[in-house]
Parts: sequence; C-alpha cells; structure tokens
Amino acid sequence: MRLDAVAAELRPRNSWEATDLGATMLRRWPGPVYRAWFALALPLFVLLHLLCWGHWWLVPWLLWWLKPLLDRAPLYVLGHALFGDVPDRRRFWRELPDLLRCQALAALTWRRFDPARSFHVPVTQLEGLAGKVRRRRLRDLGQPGRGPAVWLTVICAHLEIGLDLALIALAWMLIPDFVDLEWYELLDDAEPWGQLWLNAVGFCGMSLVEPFYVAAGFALYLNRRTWLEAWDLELGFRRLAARLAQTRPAAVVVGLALGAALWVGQPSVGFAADAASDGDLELDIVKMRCEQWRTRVAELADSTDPVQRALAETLRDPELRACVVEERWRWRDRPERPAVEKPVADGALARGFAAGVEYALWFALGLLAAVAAWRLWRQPVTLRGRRPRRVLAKPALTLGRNDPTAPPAADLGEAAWRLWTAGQPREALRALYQGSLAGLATRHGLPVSPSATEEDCLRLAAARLNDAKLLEFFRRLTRVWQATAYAHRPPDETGARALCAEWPRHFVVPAGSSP
Amino acid sequence: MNAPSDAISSTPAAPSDDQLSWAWDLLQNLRDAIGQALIGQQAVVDQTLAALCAAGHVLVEGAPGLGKTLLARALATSVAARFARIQFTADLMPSDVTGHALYNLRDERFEIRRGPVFCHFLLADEINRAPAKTQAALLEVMQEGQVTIEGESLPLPPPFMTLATQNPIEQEGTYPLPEAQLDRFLLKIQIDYPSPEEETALVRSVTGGRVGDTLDLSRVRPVADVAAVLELQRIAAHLRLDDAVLNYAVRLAATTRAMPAFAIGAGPRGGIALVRAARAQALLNGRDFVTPDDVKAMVKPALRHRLTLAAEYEMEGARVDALLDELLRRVAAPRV
Repeated sequence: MRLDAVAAELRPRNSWEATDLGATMLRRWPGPVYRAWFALALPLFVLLHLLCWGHWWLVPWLLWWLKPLLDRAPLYVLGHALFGDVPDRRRFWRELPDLLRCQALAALTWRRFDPARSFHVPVTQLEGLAGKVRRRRLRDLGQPGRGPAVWLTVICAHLEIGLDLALIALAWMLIPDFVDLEWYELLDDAEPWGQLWLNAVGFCGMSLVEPFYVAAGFALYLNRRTWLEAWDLELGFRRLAARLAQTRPAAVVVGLALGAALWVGQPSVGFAADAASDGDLELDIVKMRCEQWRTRVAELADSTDPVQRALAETLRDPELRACVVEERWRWRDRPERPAVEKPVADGALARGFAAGVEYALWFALGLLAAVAAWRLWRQPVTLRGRRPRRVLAKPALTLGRNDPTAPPAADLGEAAWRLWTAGQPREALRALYQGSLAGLATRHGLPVSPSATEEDCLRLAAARLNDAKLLEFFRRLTRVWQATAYAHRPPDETGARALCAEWPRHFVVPAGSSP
Repeated sequence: MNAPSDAISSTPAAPSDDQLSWAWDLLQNLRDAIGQALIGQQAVVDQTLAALCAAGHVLVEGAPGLGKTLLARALATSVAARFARIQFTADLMPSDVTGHALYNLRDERFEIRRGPVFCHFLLADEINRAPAKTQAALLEVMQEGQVTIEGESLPLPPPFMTLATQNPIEQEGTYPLPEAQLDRFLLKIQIDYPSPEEETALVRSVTGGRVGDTLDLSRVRPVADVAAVLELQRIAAHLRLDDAVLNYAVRLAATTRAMPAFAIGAGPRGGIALVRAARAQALLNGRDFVTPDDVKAMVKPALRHRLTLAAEYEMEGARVDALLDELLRRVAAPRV
C-alpha cells in the first residue's frame, strides 16, 4: 500500500469527523463516483421494471435488496481515487463483473441485514478477505468503528425517506393551480403510472444518499485503520526519512540538538495546554492501546500453542484485565471534572447543616401549601371542570337589605292602614308588600333572594304556592305596589282598605294553630 | 298608523293613556308584521323593537341562517321606511358607505353622491368583514347622525337605525369591532337556534309552495310610517322612571367595573343604554313606568358587548352572559 500516495490527510479522527471525511471525499470526486453509481443502478432500475412488468411494486423492494451490490461501484471508485488512481470507464466496466461476483451471495443473504454494512464492505471488497480471516479482521477493527457505522445506517435511511418526501412535496409545489390534483394523489400507487412515479422518486432519493453512505462508511474504515496501524506516524516517518536523505549529516546533528534544547526549555504550561486541548486524542490513544491489548489476547486465544491459549485464558481474568474503557455521554461545553475525594466532614456540623436544610424545606413546603390554598380560595377550580367563581366581593352583593327571615307581625294590616290614613300611602304599601314576602318566605318556604324583583317573586310564588286565593292576593298586591313604587300612582282608598283588611287572612296564623 | 294628533300635542312629560294605548297597539302590530316573515325568535324581535323605540342601533350576532338579514328586512318593510343594505367586505371603502364627491365635467363642479347610509334602516351585513377604516366611517355616522363630505355636513333623515350583523363562528379574515365602537350600539342581540316547534313551523313555511329559498317578505305589510316611529321614540323617552330603578340600573353597570371577571367594565354609556333600553322594554310591556324587571330584562343585550373578559376568565372559557347572570343574582333589586 502506497500510503504516501493517499490524497486525503490521514490522521486519527473521531468517528463523526471521519464520516465528514467521507463526505469530503465524495465532494472531491463527485463525477466519477456518481457516474459509476448510475452506470450500474440506472440500467438495473430499468431492467427491473422490464422484468417485473405488471408488478412494479416489486421494483423498490428488489432495488433495496440489491443495494450491497450497487454500493460496490462507488466504493470501487473511491478506493482507487484515494490513492490517486481514478479508474477510467473502460477499466470500470472490465472489472465490474469480478466486483459484483465477489461474495455476492453472502452480501445478499446473511450479510444483507448487517447494520454496519458500509463499514464492513471495504474489508470484503478492497482487502478481498473472506471466511475466518475476514471475521478476524472485522474483530480487529472492533467495536469503536461499528457503533458510528450503525448510526450512519440509521441516519442515512431516515435521510433517504426524508428526501423521497421532499421530492414529492417539490413536485406538488410545481404543479400549477389549474391542475386538479390533490397532494395525496401523488402517493397513490394503485395505478401503474403512480407506482412508476413513486419508484422514480425512491430511486432519486436512493441515488442521492447511497454514495454518501458508502463514502462515509469507507472513511470510518480508513480512520479505524489509521488508529490501529498508525498510518499517520508511518507517513510522518516516511516524510522525515525522505527529508533526511537529502540533508547533510552535520546539519542534521545541529538541527536535532537545537530541537532537543527547545523541547527541554519549553515551559511546562505549554504542555499542559496541549494536553488539555487534546483530551479527546488522549482518550483515543488509551482506547487504541486497549484495543491492541484485546487483539493480542484474541491472537493468543486463537493460537494452536496450548501455552499461549492458557496465557490468553489467564489474561481474560477480570483481576488481570489491563484496561477497561468506559464510555458515557456528557455535555460538550461542560468538561468533566475528575472526582475529588471529599474530606471527611465533622459529624456534628454535617448533622446541623442537614437539620437546617430540612427545616428550610419544611418551611418552603408550608409556604407553598399556603400559597396554593390562597390561590384555590381566590380561584376555586376542580379537576373535572370550572367551579363558578366569586365574581363580586361580598359587600356588593347585599346592597339594601337582608333576606326576609322573621315572620311578619300579626297586626301588619292594621299598621299599614294607619300609615295610609296618616297620608303615607307608599310606606303603607311597602309594609304590606314586605310583610307578604316575609310571610311567603317563613310560612311557605319561598326562597326569596335579595336580587329577586317583583316579577321574580311573583313567578316564584306561582310556581310554588298551592293556595290560589293567596296567589291572587299576592299578584294584586304586587301590581298595586309596582304602580305605587315606580309610577307614584297609589290605589284609591277602597282598594288600599281592601288590601289591608285582606292581608291578615293570608298571613296571620290563628291562635292555637301551628304555623 | 299615525299617532293621534291630540297624543302628539299632549304634555311632553308623561304619555297619556291614549298615547300609551296607541303605542302598545302599534308595537303589537309591528310584532305581528315581523312575525309574518321571521317565525319564532320572539325575544329577538322584542329586543329589536326595543332598540327601535329607544332610537338605538343594534348589533345582531348569530350563526349563519338564523334570520339576521330577514329580521332587518322585515322591520324595514313593516315600517315603510327607506331601507338600504351594505354587504361589508374586505375591500369596502368608507366612501362606499357614506358617499363621495364627483366632478361633473359638463357643469364643471363637484356633485355629492350620497351613499347608502342615507336611509332610515341600514342593514350592515357582516360588519366585521370590513377593515377598521370603513367600520369607523359607519360608526361615526351612527354616533353623529350626519355625514360630512367635502366639508359639507349632511344630516341623516330621522329615524336612523343601523342593524349590523356579524357571525361569531367564522373569524378568519375578519376585523373584530373595537370596544369603543361596540359601545355605539345600544344593544347586542344574540340570535340562537329556534326551538324544535319553531323550526318545524319555519321549514314548513319556507318550503310550502315556494320555489327556491329566497327571503319571503311578501306577507309583511307596512303597519307604521316614519312619523309613527318618531312618536313611538318620543313616548318611550318620556316614560316614568323612579330613582330607585335608575339607581338599580346604574348600580348594575357600575358593578361590572368592580368585578374581577371583567378587564373592562361598562362605562357610563352602558348605564345610559341600559336605562334607554329599559324604558323601551316598559313600553313593549304596555306600561307607562319602568320597573326593575325592565332593567333586568335588558341587562344582557345592553351590556354584553361593553364588557371585556379578564384574560384568566377568557382562558377558562367563561362567557359574558353567564357572568351577567351572576351579576343579576348578586345585586339586590330595589323592590322595597
């Protein structure tokens, strides 16, 4: 492998930076990659429609099934282009049959549902490994690369669906208003042409996403190998060797001495800053060492030498495990602080502090309950619905007087007549009417509220009273009272005398009878 | 149809029994005439007649198809007065309502072209569909009773009554009337769905031997004229009103300002409207004096559009009418 011919900058990256490298690679060689993709995918798309004539709904499923073979074309181009050898058309078509034949059955059957396909395909296609060697190679590449590859598959699947919907929406937006077509009709696959349209949309979405998927998976693979095989160091040494070969030995000695002096004289703060800024890198180095250790143990375990196998068994003992890599999520902008062993606090002080906190919490709880009670009192609500609110302050409700609760005096009729003869007709009728209301409320149980008007009282009496004579008297009295009170038109003396005389018959309880 | 001459020349203080009797008969005739076209909805008809007696304008709100336009047309037909209708739309201009000046090339001078507001009964259909500028032009006419075009003030012929309608369920593309403009309407009348019996009679009437479903006003006969309406309004304005009843009306209006349920309560104009409407209600009941019941009957139509719910009540889905019921239950009546 000619690492010095690699067109990309090889250095240890984290996984998502590596996928970004894949996108960069595709942007660097879009023409060759997409030509290779369409050279394979487009004829296949047409061919499948011809083969499945009348059953076009099968085509998207078959295309999806054949994706592992289609992926080989862009990977083939990227694999060569990375080393500065972009394949021409003739070479592509010449090598395509071998490319497609290579482990095709496995790719389309038991490996079809591999969620990290893009990461594993380069091992098969570019390294040409199969069987046990391939499995071992995949095990060497290990878990750190597989996780992001699985996520890459998930993201690309969603992206492809999103692009399909976006293409449909775009088509819908471009349809002129005069075309009588609803958007959901664009999703109708009942008709053959509707199915063809949906197949075309699916093919476009797949064609846009799949090369990115392959390139990103390939970049993950490259990154993993850079970690494991230290490609960046190898490249650095190669460049150094090339430079040293062109330089005189004396100058080299002076240069190395000067470099050593500078290195020794550099302030330690600088190292600290570098270390802090490269925290992720340090972690990755630790991971790499662990991985190397695991690989070594695996090699020992696979060995035919019983001593080496026994050694591997011993090394797998948890107590002898050289390293454990624990990964978890943390906020990006909040650097994780190393756990500091807390000093043992004084017991009394801690207990006092805890008691203080407890009291404060109880106080806060009480305050909260008081506020909640006050709020409920002001705005009573229930979970089932709204309870009628208090819309007015209490003093505003009883303007004027209270409800008639005391029974009327027995001689009210005579007292009213005395007021009439004294030239106070309004007061006389007021007394009669008020006494009648009191009598109706106390003796007949009429719920006369302060807000009830004369007509309200009359309606209430008509609904509740069974005594027709009493009702007729009350109606007559109400009309007379209304005319007197609001029109200042009192009745004639005969009428007033009749009312005063009749009133006791309805509202005075005879002596000896219970009310 | 016309008021008797001795009734008109009688004392301006309180109407005589003859005048009262004439007014009551006239109102019954108007009720019957409107009832020929608008089946049921008696409360709505009474409230509209009350607004007519009180010389006020009404805002009729109800779902489509409940007879808002029919009510206005029937009222205008029964009074034999000039009627105009404006269908408010988003592109309606103020000059489309009030009129405008037009240059006459032949005479080389400006001519005033009077708008549809120069009538006695104006139906402003779906008033909330026009922008605020056009609404304001109409509401100014309602308040001032005159139109000013090119600096010339043109009084509207009395009586002038606006019956504006609005639909409460289709709010998209509408311009809700501001509170200050709503205040110009004496009453806001809610038209609800008719009872099953009324609806049966309505459907039978509309579909029996008729082609189409256009408004049928053929059975509505004029029973009053403009002079009679003016006399009716004069009689209503002079009904007796005891201080206790006046105080009750003012207390009701003022109490809305103290209620936490309302962010904005009714102002003095609310109290004035309530008293005017109560007088008209008393006349409709055939009395020459106002009772607290008349006030109570008019509280909802006279106040409901002058009140703005507090945000918390609005969020809880409280309704102004329910809160006014609560107000009436809480404020003591002046019965003793």
